[in-house]
Parts: sequence; C-alpha cells; structure tokens
Amino acid sequence: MTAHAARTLLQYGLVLLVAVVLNFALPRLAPGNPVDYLLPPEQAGSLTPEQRERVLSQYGLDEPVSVQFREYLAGLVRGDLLYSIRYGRPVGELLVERVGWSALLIGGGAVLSTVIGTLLGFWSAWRRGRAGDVRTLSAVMLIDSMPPFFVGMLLILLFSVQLGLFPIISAMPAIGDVSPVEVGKRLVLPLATLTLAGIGPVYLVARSALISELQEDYVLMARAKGLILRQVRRHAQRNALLPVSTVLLTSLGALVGGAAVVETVFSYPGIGRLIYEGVLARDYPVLQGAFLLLTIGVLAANFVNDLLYPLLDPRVRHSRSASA
Amino acid sequence: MRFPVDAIKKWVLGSGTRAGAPRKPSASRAGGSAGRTPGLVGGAFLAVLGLVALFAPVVARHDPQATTGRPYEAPSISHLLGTNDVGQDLFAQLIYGARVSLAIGLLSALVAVFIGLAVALVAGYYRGRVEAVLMRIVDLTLAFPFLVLAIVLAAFFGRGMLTMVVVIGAVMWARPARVLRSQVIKIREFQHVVSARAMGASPLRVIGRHLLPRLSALTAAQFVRAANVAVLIEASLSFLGLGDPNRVSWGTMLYFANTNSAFLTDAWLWWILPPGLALTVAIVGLAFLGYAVEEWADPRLARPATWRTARRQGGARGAGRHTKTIERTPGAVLEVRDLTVQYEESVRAVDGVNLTVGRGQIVGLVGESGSGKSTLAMALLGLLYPPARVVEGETILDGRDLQTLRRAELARMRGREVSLIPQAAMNALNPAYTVHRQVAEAAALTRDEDAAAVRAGELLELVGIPRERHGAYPHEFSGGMRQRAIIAMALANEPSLLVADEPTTGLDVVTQARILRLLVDLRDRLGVAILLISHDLPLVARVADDLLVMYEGRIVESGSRKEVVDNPTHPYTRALRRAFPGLHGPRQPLSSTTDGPSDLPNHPPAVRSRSAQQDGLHPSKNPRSRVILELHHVSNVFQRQTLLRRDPPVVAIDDVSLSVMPGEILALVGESGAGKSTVGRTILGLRRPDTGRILFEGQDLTDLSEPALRKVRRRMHLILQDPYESLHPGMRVRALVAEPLAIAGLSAGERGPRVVSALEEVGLAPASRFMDRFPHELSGGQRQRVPVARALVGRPRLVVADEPTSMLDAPLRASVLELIMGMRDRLGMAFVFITHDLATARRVSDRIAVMYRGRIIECEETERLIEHPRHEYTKTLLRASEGVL
Repeated sequence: MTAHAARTLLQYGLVLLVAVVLNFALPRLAPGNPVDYLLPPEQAGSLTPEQRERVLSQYGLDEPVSVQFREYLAGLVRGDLLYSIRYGRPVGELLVERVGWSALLIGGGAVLSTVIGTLLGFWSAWRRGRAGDVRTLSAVMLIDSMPPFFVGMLLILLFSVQLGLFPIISAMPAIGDVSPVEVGKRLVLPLATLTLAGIGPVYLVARSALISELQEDYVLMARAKGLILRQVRRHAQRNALLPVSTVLLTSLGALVGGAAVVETVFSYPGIGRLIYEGVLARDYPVLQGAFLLLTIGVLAANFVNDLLYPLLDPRVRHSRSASA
Repeated sequence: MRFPVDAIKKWVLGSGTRAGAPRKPSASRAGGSAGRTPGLVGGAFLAVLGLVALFAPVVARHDPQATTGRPYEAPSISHLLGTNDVGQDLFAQLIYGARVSLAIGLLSALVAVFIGLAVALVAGYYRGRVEAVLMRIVDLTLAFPFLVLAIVLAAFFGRGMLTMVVVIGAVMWARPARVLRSQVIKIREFQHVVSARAMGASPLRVIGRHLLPRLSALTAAQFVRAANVAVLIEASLSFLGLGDPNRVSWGTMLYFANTNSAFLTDAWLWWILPPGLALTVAIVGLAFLGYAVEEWADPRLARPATWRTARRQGGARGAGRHTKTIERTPGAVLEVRDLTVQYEESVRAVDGVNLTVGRGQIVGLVGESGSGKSTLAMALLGLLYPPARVVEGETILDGRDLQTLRRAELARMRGREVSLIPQAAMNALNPAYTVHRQVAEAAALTRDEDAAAVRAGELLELVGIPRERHGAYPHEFSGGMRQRAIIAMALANEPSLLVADEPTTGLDVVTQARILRLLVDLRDRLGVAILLISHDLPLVARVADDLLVMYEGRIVESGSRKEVVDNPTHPYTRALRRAFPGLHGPRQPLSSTTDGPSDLPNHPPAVRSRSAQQDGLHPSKNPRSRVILELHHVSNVFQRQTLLRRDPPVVAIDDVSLSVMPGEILALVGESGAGKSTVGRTILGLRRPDTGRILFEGQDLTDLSEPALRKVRRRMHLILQDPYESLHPGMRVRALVAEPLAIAGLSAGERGPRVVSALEEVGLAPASRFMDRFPHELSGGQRQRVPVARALVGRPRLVVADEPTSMLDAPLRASVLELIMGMRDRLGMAFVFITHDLATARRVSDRIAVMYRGRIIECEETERLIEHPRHEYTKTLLRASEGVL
C-alpha cells in the first residue's frame, strides 16, 4: 500500500513538474516580446527599446534560461508568483482571496453531481427502456449538451430576473468577509449550474456500467441462488461503482474548467472569474498563477481518489499489496 | 424544439435479438441498427446546421460584422433578431456563427483524432517501452484541467481560428489515443491478426490490412465525440473573450451578450436564446450521432433486451390449474411435459421437450451448442430473458407447475427447490465480495445470519475448500476452486434439483474429473438430483444414470446410459458417438458424417508416411539435417513493463527442448496455462525466447532481425483455435487463402490457380463457388476448411496448429483431423499439434510431449506414452481422460 502510494505520488509529481515547466515556458515560447506579457498593453506598447531592456533586466529576463528557470523555481517555493498587471498586487495574494470561493463551488459541484448522477444512473439502469428511464436519459442528454454558461444565463433569467429570488451581484468580497447567509446566496445558482453540468457524464457512466453488470454471470447466479431483488441489486451496484469512480478522475478536470465559465456568468468571486478578468486585461501573471493552482488542486483530488480506489476493488487491493 | 423521445426509446430498447442468439456476424450487424434512429436524428440536426453554414450568404441578408442598424434594436423585418450593442445584425451573426463554430469543432476534432490514432497505433503495435512512455504522456495530458489549459494556451498564443484549432486539438488528443490504443491491443491479439503476423506480414501490412479496417468505426465514433467536446470548448473560449476577433461564433455572441448584461432586458430573447440553442442543437446532434456510430462500431453495445424475466403470456390465468390433478411419475423430482420455448415468433429453441428426473438421479442432457440445452435450463429456473418465453407445456417441480407460479413465488423456488450451476462459473462469483460471504448470503435465505455463516463454512468444506481459504476473494481462487464455491452456493438451501449447465467446460481435464467426482459424491451423500447439461457425450456418460440427447430443440434420444451408449438409435447420436476419439482400441477413422462434403478426398489415414521426404516434393535445403525444427533449452518469461516499474516475472515456458522431423506430427498436450501456446508462438518467432536456441531447417532463428524472421515465417504456418476469429471478417475467401502468397510477393495471376487448388484439396470444390464469399457466408464446416486451405497454399514446411479443433463440435472435429493428417501424408508437412485433449492427440500424432507448468515432463511415441506413462502427471491426465473418477 505504501509503495503504491509512493509510486502514485511520484506520478503526480511528474504531472506537476510538467505544469510548472509549461508555466515557465509559455510566455517565453509565445509569439512577441516577454515584456508584452508583463506590463499592461498600453504601457508596453509605448516603451522605447531602452526602457524595454530595463524591464527585461528588472524581471531577470536577460539572464540565461537556466538561471531564469532556477530563479523561477526558487520563487515558486517561496510562493512568489509575480505581480498582477491589473491589480498591481502579488498574484499569490489574489489567489488566496479567491481560492475559498472556488473550492466551495467546485467541491460542492463535484459531490452533488456525483451523488445525484450515480443515483439517477442506477435508477435509470433498473428501468432500462421504460418510460422513466427514457425521460431521464433524454433530459440528462439535453442538459449535458447545453454549454454550462448558457445554463447559468438561463438560471439567472429565471430565478434572478423573472422571479427575483436571488440578487444579481457584482461585488467581490474575500470569503472571510461575508456572512454565511451571504455566501449561501451567492453560491446557490452557480452551484446548481455546475451540478447540472457535471451530472451528465456521471449519469451516463453509472447507467451503462450497471446495465452491463446486470448481464454478468454473477447476477444470474445471485438470482439463481434465490436472492431477493434488493440483494441482487446490491451485488451489481457494488461493481458498477468502479467505473463511476474512474470517471470522476476526468470529470473533475472538466468541472474545474466549467467553474471558470460559470463563475464568469455569475460574477462569482472565485478563481474562474479571476481568469476571465485576467484574459480581458491580458493579465498573464494571473493566468499563470491560476493555471498552476488549479492543476495542483485537480492533481490533489485525483491523488486522493486514486488512493481510495482499492477500497472499492479488492482485485486491485490484492495485486498491489502482492507487488508491494 | 420537440425532443425525439420515440427515437431515444427505440434506441434504448434495442432490437433485442441478442439473448441466446447464435454468434453470427450477420445477427450482430443487424442488431447494431438499434442506434440508427437517434443517429438519423442527430445527423439531420447537423445537416441542417451544416447547410445553413454553407449557404450563410443566401440565408442572411446582412454582413455580420457591418453596422447595419442602430445599437440595441429590437427584432424587425430587416433585423430578424435585432441588433447588438454596435448595431450589427444578430441574425446574420447567428447564421455566420454556424460556420465558425462547426468549422473549429470539426477541424480540431480531426487534429485530435489524427494525433490520437497515430499514438494509439504506435503504442499498441510496438508495445513495450514505447508504449509505456507514450501512455504516460497520455495520462499526463488527461490529468490537466483541459479547459483551463486551453484558456491559458489561447491567451498566450493569440486569438485566431488556427490557434483555436491547434489549442483544442492539443488538449483533446489524449482521450482518443487512450481509447483507440486499448482497441489496438485487443485487435492485435485477434486471431486473424496473429495469423497474419505468423505468416510473416510486415507491420505496414498488418496495420493497413488488419488493424485499420477494424479501427475505422471506433475512430469515427471518437471523431464525433471529439467534435462534440470541441464545439463546447470553442464556445467556452469564445465566451471568455478568447475567440477570433475577426469572426463571430455563437460563443462570441454570448460573450458580448454577457458583457452587455443582455439578460437584464428583453434582449435575452433574441440575443442569448438563439445562439445558446444553436449550440445545444449542434452538441445534441453530435452526441446522438456519436452514440449511433459507437454502437455501430461495437456490436456488443447493441443493447440486449430488458432485464426483467419474461412471464408466459397471461401466465396468471393458469392459477386455477393447481387444482387439476397432475399425473406424476412416482419419485420424480422434475417432470417436463411438452415444453416449448420460443424466441421470435417462429424460432423454437426448445420444441416439445419431455423429460423426467427422479430423486437422487443424475440425468445427462447432451447436445451441441445451439441445440437448446441452455434455454431449457433457464426455463427450469424461470430465468428466461425476453424475447425468449415459454409458450406451451408444463414444468412440474416437486409437484408444482412452474409455469403457473407468480414471479414472487417462482423466486422463492430458486435456491430452495432448484438451483443452478451456470455456464462459465469463472465469472459467476461477484469479484467484490469474499467467497464465504457469497455462500453465506445464499444460506441466509432460510436461516439467521449467524447460522448462515456457520453453514457457509460447512458447505465450503463439503466441496473441498480448506477453511483457511474461505475468506478469500474470487480472483484469488483457481478455476476449479471457483467452480466448487459455486456448487457450495447452489447447495446452500438443500434443493432437490441441481441444474448443472456445462459445469466443467473451460476447466482442464484433471479438474474436470474432480468436479464430476464431487457432483457424484454430493448426490450420494445428500440425495440431490442433478440435471447435467453438456456438449461432451463421453464426459456425461461417465456419471449419468439416464441420458438424453438434444438436437435442434428436440429430445431425439433418451434412455438409460447403457441403452443410449451401446445402442444409439438416432443417426445424430450415432454420429456423435463415433466422432469422439478414444484412448484404446484401434485408431479407426473418425466419422465426419454431418457437414462434410461427400467429395472429400479420402486418403487412408493414420498410416505413418515418411515417403513425402523422399518423393522429392520438398527437398530440404540442408540434406544432412533430417530434423526440421529444434528447440534447445528455450525459456520464455513474461514481464509486464511500465515506465516506473517491472512486474514480477512469470515464467511461461521453462527449459523446453524438442525436435520435429519432416512429415511428423508432434502433439503438445497439457492443461490450459501449461505454456503450450507460448511454445507455439515462440517457434514462429512471435515471442523471442529469453534463453535457448531455435533452429528451423538448420537455420538458427534466435538472433535473426525482425525482417529476416518475417521471411522465415513464410515457410511456417500457424492455425488457430477458432476458425471464425482467425479469418478477417471483411475479407473474401479468395483473399484469405491467398494471404500467405501475397505476403510472399506473388502476383495476383500467380495466386489464383494455387488458391483454387488449395480450396479443392480441402474439399471446397468447385472452388469458384466459394472464392467470393465472406467467412460468415460459409457453413461451420466450410469455414473450418478455409484456415486449412490457407495453411497448405504456401506449402509451408512446418505447421503449428494451436487447438485447431477445440471449438468444434465432434463431427466437425473429426473432419478437420482427417484434413490435417491428409496434408501430412500427401505433402510431408511437419506439424506441432497443440491440444488439451489426450484422445485427440492420440488420434493424430506420432509423438506426444506432455507439458506441465511450463516444462515438458515427458515426450514419447504416442502409443507408448498412452500405454506406459512414466510421469505422475501424465498418469493423472490419462486417468482423467479415461473417465476414472
């Protein structure tokens, strides 16, 4: 088990390394002058060549690449992530302010969409082909085909504009500065949107996994030995959970991306909104910092999921302890 | 928009032809049409959008980028959807937006799938370290939050259509790569691909002819999937303001709508809804199309019928029949009268069957696959799945007619009165629970939890599983032990009847004998009656009191074991009986009455003929060497290699030495997992030996380069187990048989006559009747002859035949053995004949080598080995094959 954990950790470390290197390389590989990625566009455009040189040396960009990379790594270790162009503040500070909001939204969305998607999928699989299944499947496929930001806009229209249930908010407080009620008010609609966006893949996998488990011989045997339906159901569902757990790995990445656009629609004060602002203002340091942070978040969640998987599947549990 | 519920319903329900249907490609192809309706709907959605995009200048009157009205104009005749904040026509933007959205979606999907396919082919074909590295990169790519990655990439590399396509392609290629690669690995082991490689085909030919055609459907499915996601990513990027500033897509429209807070005014109706719905329609269309293509790509996904078991039509009406006095045979546990089960309207799987099983009796039910045995078994348990249903007859178990019971009553019978040992017991245990728990669960139906736990322990011991293994999971058990656990489960509530459906198929002979012995033993001790269903007449005849023979849904022969075995009356039984080779007595020609063309060239079989060596047909290149194949101390170790670690090695074959003379048939016998097939593949160079040397016609193959080895392989040939699988389903007989010649570089003109004569040599005459057929258009017997024809068309010096008859029904098996011996006699080919069945080995071989756990433990002249086995394992094998329990 520990050997497995170490190996998995190593693997994720590798992904992290790639993300870090990518982050370093992007502004240097992208077309144009690195200065364009460090200063506000109007300022960068009006610089004389000498001033450009000065900015470059100020950021250490005239050093050899290897020195720059060392500096960059050292900066990362210190938590030192450049300055935001738009806010003129360290990117790290901005991220810390926003990360709580995003964690709440993404975490909540992941849990809700997994639970609802799995239950609905299992429910559907048991009534495969009957009206309930067909309606659920159609509805889920329809919602799954709507871009999340479009769903968000529709929800605002319905609940905020037409029904006036939730205020349309544009202020951006830090999460510690607002009352839980206020947090809840801001959270409900984005969370609903993200949950709707996340249900689709989980539902489809849960449904088809259970349908295929139901055709397994052990289900036939469970029936032949006289078990009642509830017991047979438990047999099949237990195994159908395995693919669901695997799909979480990939759907989490999608959910993080979804959160970025959903936050934009709702002016939700999370990292996704920060990314959007970063894109608008060409605030590249913010984009880099946010990308790194989200990647770390996704990797951490996947790591936990990976460690928990053997609890679900005894076959993996044993082969791993055998080779450990 | 009305959602096509009916279409989905049709698709979800499927055509339902699968349950119990024979394995035919035509059937599965037809079944694959289940996804057609939503596929058409999806295709129609996309076609409309595509046409609109194509004819945008005709449909829209305005230039989408030009200011043609006042800002924020409401819809009018001139501006159907009003205008945006700078007075551009929204309708024109919607129409032209289709161009941008669809073009970016499709192009980036193309990029992603192209990269994915290339990676999959390289990784899947070459395996090993290349694969490990590539798949690690795939995993890395998949682990990133791809939309965020795309945002960052797009932000840095500028806003433009080409950037968008490259960025989306770059974040999406990994999924198709992974899916396609696992398919490549699967297809690579398909028997027709292994055959092609064994014939010495170049990687280019294998990939082009054998892999790509079978990948095309899945690739198409992946493309549609990728396009689906790509459209969404494009929309998201554009929505975040990263779209091409010179072109308007649907996402860009929504971006401007959002920044102008269009949903606060009525403008949402014409500014937000249309592009949002357009995106939804495009994505739904792609999703529908994707599912349809996927289903078409993989017929296994064609949904089988619903899960609930079928009840006889108006089954409850018969409730009153309880009162009817049923005339019963005294002491009978089960009586079946005139039972008829239908699949479709007219297909009768079981047709008017009568049978009786007495208390404590073992009744054997024998028939070939497709004869209706399993359907009958399921009917006895009330577990028929639609569309199969009982249309007539009575099934009286312990005095109650199962057909009149309600579903709940029927469920109460299962496990208590009648229980099942299903086919493929390997998979009949739930992998997630311990064996003990699964047995206890059954026992708990009639007792409390604690008593059930105790009972489960007793049962497992009763079937011979030692107490310390009770807490193990199924995957930690061998096949034989799993079968025992299943038997324990079936016995948990002392049923009076046990239906054992092929309880020993898939087990090696020794384990087979043990399981049979256990069944007899349990009958003796517990008095349970057993209906033993099998395709294997000699096996059933060993233990059954009464024998029934089933053929095409009917019982064609019944009586005591002695009557049926000694005096079979039905021609089918006689054929079945003769077709099984024995271990004693003269090696008589085997009967191949059914399915064999009468014009089969008849050669005196079993005459040892070394004459071929002298008749000059195939002078050996090295006349001094009489030995055609030599293996010296060959070992082969399997070791799975990933980037970061190596799995512990598994020794597949260990220090194997053997030699084969020209014109000799050497049988390689052993249980599954003994390493027989690995020896076969090592001979052909499909696996390189880790130690030891291989000499073929005096040439040392051990250190040959891959291309040189491919040339050598053209003088050998590999025949594989399943005639169905070893023939590429998309190739005609002509091309199939000619493949070795094509690989050797013969022109089409040279190939033709040789294919004709090869086909006629194996009895497919006149050849012109068969040349242009596909494998699925041949009968089972004809199909089996094609690999044989292919084996002899190139006049190889050595043929490795890997279980060429194990999938065949007895009469067919006999005719194939005849063909193989005929080839040896006339052409002087040498054979390595791999089989698990000693009787078959005795029938064809000159010498037998017995393999056990990767080693050859004994190698001897056939008759001497049978009569005087030296090794303990050989003796066990012989005893098991002879039916001594």
